[in-house]
Amino acid sequence: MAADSDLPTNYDVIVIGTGMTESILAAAASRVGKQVLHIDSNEYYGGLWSSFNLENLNKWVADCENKETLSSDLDDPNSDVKINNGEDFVFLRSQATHVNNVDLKWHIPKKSGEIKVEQWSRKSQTSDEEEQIEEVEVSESSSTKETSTRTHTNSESEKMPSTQCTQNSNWTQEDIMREYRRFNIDLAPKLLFARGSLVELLISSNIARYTEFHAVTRVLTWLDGELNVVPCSRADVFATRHVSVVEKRMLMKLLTTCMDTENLIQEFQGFDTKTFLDYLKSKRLTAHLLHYVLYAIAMGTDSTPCMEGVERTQRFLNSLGRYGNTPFLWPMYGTGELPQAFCRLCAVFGGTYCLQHPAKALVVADDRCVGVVSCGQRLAADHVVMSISQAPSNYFDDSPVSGISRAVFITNKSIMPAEKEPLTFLQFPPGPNHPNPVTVIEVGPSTHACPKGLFLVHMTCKQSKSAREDLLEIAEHILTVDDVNPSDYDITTGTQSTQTVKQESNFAHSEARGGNGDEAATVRTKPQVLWSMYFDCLETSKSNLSPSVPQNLHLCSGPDLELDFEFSVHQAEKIFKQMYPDLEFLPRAPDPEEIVIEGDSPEGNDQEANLFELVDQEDPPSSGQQVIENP
Amino acid sequence: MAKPMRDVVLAKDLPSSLLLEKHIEFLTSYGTDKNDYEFCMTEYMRMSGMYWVMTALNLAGCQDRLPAEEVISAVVKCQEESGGFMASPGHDAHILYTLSAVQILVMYDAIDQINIESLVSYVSGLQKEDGSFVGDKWGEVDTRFSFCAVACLSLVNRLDAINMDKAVEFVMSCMNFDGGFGSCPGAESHAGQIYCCVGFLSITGELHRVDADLLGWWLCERQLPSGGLNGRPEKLPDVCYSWWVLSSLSILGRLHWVHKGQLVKFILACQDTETGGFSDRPGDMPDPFHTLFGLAALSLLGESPSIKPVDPTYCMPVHCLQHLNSKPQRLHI
Amino acid sequence: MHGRLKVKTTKEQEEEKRQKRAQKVKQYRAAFGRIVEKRQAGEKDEEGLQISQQILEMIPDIHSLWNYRREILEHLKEVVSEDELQRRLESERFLTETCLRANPKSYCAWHHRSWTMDHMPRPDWQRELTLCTKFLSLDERNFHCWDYRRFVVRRAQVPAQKELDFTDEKIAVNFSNYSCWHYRSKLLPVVQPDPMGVRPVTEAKHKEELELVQNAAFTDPTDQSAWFYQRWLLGRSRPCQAITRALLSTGRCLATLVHPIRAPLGLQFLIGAGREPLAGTWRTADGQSSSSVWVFTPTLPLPQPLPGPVYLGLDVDGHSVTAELEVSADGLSALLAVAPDFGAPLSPALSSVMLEELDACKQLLEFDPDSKWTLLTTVLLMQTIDRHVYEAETMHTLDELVELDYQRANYYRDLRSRLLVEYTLERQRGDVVDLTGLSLTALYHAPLLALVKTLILNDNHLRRPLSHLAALQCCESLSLDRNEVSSLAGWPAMPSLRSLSLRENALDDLECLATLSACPCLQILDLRGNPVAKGDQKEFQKKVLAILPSLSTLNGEHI
Repeated sequence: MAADSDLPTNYDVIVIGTGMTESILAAAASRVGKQVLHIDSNEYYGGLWSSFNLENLNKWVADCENKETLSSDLDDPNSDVKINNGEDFVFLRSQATHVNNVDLKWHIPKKSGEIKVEQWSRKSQTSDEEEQIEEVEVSESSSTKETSTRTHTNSESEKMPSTQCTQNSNWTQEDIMREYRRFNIDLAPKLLFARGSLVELLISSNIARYTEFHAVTRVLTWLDGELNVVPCSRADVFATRHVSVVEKRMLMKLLTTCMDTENLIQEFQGFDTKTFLDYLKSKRLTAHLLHYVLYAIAMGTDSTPCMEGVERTQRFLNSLGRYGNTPFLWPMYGTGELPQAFCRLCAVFGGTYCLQHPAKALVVADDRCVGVVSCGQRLAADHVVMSISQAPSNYFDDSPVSGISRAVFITNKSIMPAEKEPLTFLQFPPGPNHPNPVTVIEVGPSTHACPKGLFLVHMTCKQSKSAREDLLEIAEHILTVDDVNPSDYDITTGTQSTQTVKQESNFAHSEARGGNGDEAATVRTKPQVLWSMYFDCLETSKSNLSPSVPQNLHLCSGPDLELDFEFSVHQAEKIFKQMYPDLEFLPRAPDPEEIVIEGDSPEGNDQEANLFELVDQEDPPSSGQQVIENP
Repeated sequence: MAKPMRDVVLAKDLPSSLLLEKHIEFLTSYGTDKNDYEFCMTEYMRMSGMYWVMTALNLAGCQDRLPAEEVISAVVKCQEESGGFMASPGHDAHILYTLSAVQILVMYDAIDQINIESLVSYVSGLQKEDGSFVGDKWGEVDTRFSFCAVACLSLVNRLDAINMDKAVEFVMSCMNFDGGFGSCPGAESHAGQIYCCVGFLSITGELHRVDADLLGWWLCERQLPSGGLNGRPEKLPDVCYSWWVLSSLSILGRLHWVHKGQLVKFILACQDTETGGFSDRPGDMPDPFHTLFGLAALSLLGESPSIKPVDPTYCMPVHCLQHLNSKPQRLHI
Repeated sequence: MHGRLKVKTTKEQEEEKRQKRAQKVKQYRAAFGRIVEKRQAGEKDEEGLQISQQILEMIPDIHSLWNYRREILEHLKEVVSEDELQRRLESERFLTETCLRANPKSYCAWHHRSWTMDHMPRPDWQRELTLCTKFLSLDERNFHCWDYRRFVVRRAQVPAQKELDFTDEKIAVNFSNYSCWHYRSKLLPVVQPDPMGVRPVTEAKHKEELELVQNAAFTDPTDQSAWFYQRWLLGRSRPCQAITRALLSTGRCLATLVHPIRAPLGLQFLIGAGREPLAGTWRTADGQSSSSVWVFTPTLPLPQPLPGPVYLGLDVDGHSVTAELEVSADGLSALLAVAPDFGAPLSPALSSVMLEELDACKQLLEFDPDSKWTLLTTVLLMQTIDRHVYEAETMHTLDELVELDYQRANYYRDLRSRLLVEYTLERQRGDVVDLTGLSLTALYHAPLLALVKTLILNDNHLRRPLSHLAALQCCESLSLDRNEVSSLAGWPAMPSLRSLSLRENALDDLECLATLSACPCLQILDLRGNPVAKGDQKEFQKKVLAILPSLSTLNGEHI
């Protein structure tokens, strides 16, 4: 405590928590010359928006389970900080209280030749987990035996380990933990619309230079019991062999109609009170097209109102053709990079950062927050910005009931292998056993989400029971979630000989309808889940705040259910306007910014001046890596 | 989702009548300031610059605004010993500037002031075994040079000096699936290149080798909603293509396949109301090149009586070509 | 100044720019002057390379400077080691890159790059190919780069199939890439040539290509590239050279061919069982250097009656072709008139593909009834599949196109006129051809009318010079009433023309009648209803007779 006690005590803004909205606000305030203190109780940035390597994820899980201990850990603020008459302490909560039902499990043996499946798995409720993790950590350095059987994980030259190596690789927990640093596992995986407000904000504020992106390479959907590539761009529609030419025209015409803002009113007359499904039916779309448009492009459901469907379709299409073949970008190193990028800007403009610096309480007087108690200091600011997850329950009119169910899987190959490493977005429409759509994002090693040869599959949906109950069925559609049978591990040859046969007997294997012929030609087995984690998390974006929240205390929601970052950006902008109605929100930097793209070029590139920018370099990364930067 | 058409939108306040006096001013000011940046930086193609200015003034009926003797002697001085012409002193001879020089001298009726024999031997010396022409001794082959060669030679009535059959065969080997022509065998069709090849075939009397309906269709499809013409599919309109597309269509007897009124409107919109001269597109910088091709296109369109008739093959005033032994061929339907 | 926006500038900006430019002019003058001196002195050295590089980086199109560099490099080749030469040329290649960065359309810089690569001791063509691929991903339509790529492909002997695969990739990224479709049209006939030699590619590949463009058409029917390519695929093969008309008689001998020829190679009448060549001279009917209608003047009078069979011979691609003429009953003349064939036979397989295409187009039209590309393609398909079955529909579609695509209305009108003439010529045989009231805007196939004696073109929209009527060597009576003829400039010599009716046209200039004096037999002329014939008839008659003294009847009145 003493080491930190020399923090200055007065600020324009104190931001508590480094989540997305908080970080944007910190940057925005700092950018317009405000003195900002940004603190976080964790030793990492991002809070519930963070991305972890495998080891740190385990620590996070442990923290979530020890939340009671953590909160009781807090010192009594009275001991250090004095308050005046008319002032009250308001004690803050730990973010971890927002996470429940954590369920982490290995599906593979600890090391080669191990026998009992039961021993590999562990429920988060069990108390011996710490030991297990330690064991893994210890074994990490000692085990060198397997390297010869799985050279691919260390071979940097391997282009596509997923398709070539996974079939005959016997991943063990040791193998994976040895590379724990190569994971970036997101707590709140989200995509950016290429023309969404976050991309625009990154560019206009010049924060883009701190970030790197990959374009999502394909949009899949689940149709007739199998995975389908959704033809979502003009080039896709042209190339797909899975819809007839007439369907191509229908689809293009429909999408063009939705984009034709001039004649929108006329076209949608009479559909104001109907659903988007009604409209699509009136267009006599074939079943496939209807599915593509409603569930994949508009990402809607059968009850999505017509005009909302149109707006969602427009949002999707507007973002096409900017980077890559889909409307989406995925941040390199995971979602957790984004709050950090804003923090970096805040710091550049003079913001002060303190991690592992918990705020224990607020000092409140007359509907104002007049102090923040942290590490034995009483700090003061005109405005206090704070994550909603730390707010005391009396700040809510009703406690948040809505939750998000999340699942993360480490798998041994892509759900639909492709020539180049895919980056997939997939949304399952609601089904009989899951009333809410399920969002799936699959990321591979080139985004630094995981080591070579592996993939991460993220699933997200609205919570109805627990994450496991909500998501298992969907996971089973596309992944083999059963534990690997140890007898399948043939140590002498290093091949997993019977595994595929077993899988095929369990599930009708799907011949996916891929974007090109070679994909569809091969009969595929589903990826094996090697490790899984389920958890639930409160959805706070629709919280009803009570009037007892002090005027100058601004609460920021945690990760919302939506796919993108629109909510956070808008919330940050709204709060900023409340704080500083006359100042500009993250003003455009003086120099013109530009996005330079590696790999893919946008359509209609006319800028001949830049023609040779990339020429004479070595091959750019094979998958369309996006760099947003300031030239 | 549909690919937006690449075109310009003509603003309401753009000029809609011919500002001939302004253009004459613009043209006569060419080179008056020898230290002008643009003038200096285009020294390497001075001969063509002079041809553009001269021809444009001639079409406007004002060739006497330039001192004839000075121009002629400047041109004559540029003939190298080889017989070819350089763009300006200090540069190397090239067939492009040789044609420009010959065109200027023909317009001044002063062709006899140069060594025609060495000119003919220079040009015929550029023909290669396969019938193609190189631009100079460094070996660049292009159908533009085939045109320059036969245009030069026909202007001095010496087409006999080259292997005509092979020259024609080479140009024909540059014909494409769309009926157009590229710069060399395999190269894509381009309106400028088509002008050269159609012009070549009109001089050599081999126009029947063109699929005039197919090529004419491709050419009239160059007209965009703005009325302007582009040089290739999916490209922006440009006044110089008004000339290249239109002259080709005119030679093929299919000038009426474009919408004249809209094209005239586009060309007029590319005039610079301040300085005079035409630019490639409305609002851009004017230059002598686009000024000539704007005026020449208006002449072909026949809607501007103040501009003299232009010959679509040579891009020279018709009245300057009376001396030719054989008139360039034209198709009719 | 291609694409340089004219921007308003402030006074200070202008002054600053002016000074900068004046400085540049000075630098250029000094540098270029130095180069001229050095060249005159025959100095081929490092300094020459340095100075020329400085200028070229600013203005890459000064070919003389590239020439000088090449002179220096050729000189160096003699004096430096191979490794040194390689190094020099590699930096030369780098210079072209710098220049192309400033101006990717510089002919000079591209050519210099080819030259450089060709003179390099160890050229890395694979690297060049990779660079082309990258460059084309940034500007997919730069034709210089496409041309350079083809140059590299030739040098590196890249198989055509590989390049075809490359076009597949490019088209998958963006099918609105005309350059790419063009390249395909060059590669396919190499990779998959039609063994029959009828079509550019094998039938199977042909079908595949049609499907590919159909995909493009259905995805975006407004895209030009695919339609142009499709038109090529659907195109009829060029008919073979042949004799279509021939006449041998006292007073008129002629031959009409499918394609014009420049010289009457092997063109000769052969008479009698011994096929004796008939002596005489050939000239073109229209006086042009090449033509499809050739007129023969025998050296001696024709034997009467003609002794036995009469043939006409012609060299086609080095082979001699003959056609037999039919000798008239009285033996005084011989005639050949091959029935015209405007269609092209299709194989059954291809025919069914075409029908599928037509069906697809009709489905497309249900979505976009106003798609001009689709409409025009249906016309081409209908003409290819069965021009007679679809005659009415073809005409109707063309009328629609005139309305829809008004910028090109005259193209569709002329195409319509062409088809109407073709239909008429298939039906009408013999000496009289009547093309009345067809709204013709153009007169196609004039050479096929070479033997016609009476041609009626009343009630059409003909207006342009009719010089191609020169083909009508036997025409005695020509009627053009109620057309839009405004001038007789360019009227051809019609050796047989006796009667010409031009009633109710737009002739307003008496002087242009002079061209009719090239028709030596003209006796009857009708100009009633033209502006020129207004007013006093006696006066008018007098003026016309002054120009055309041999007339016997004018405006229906015997003179």
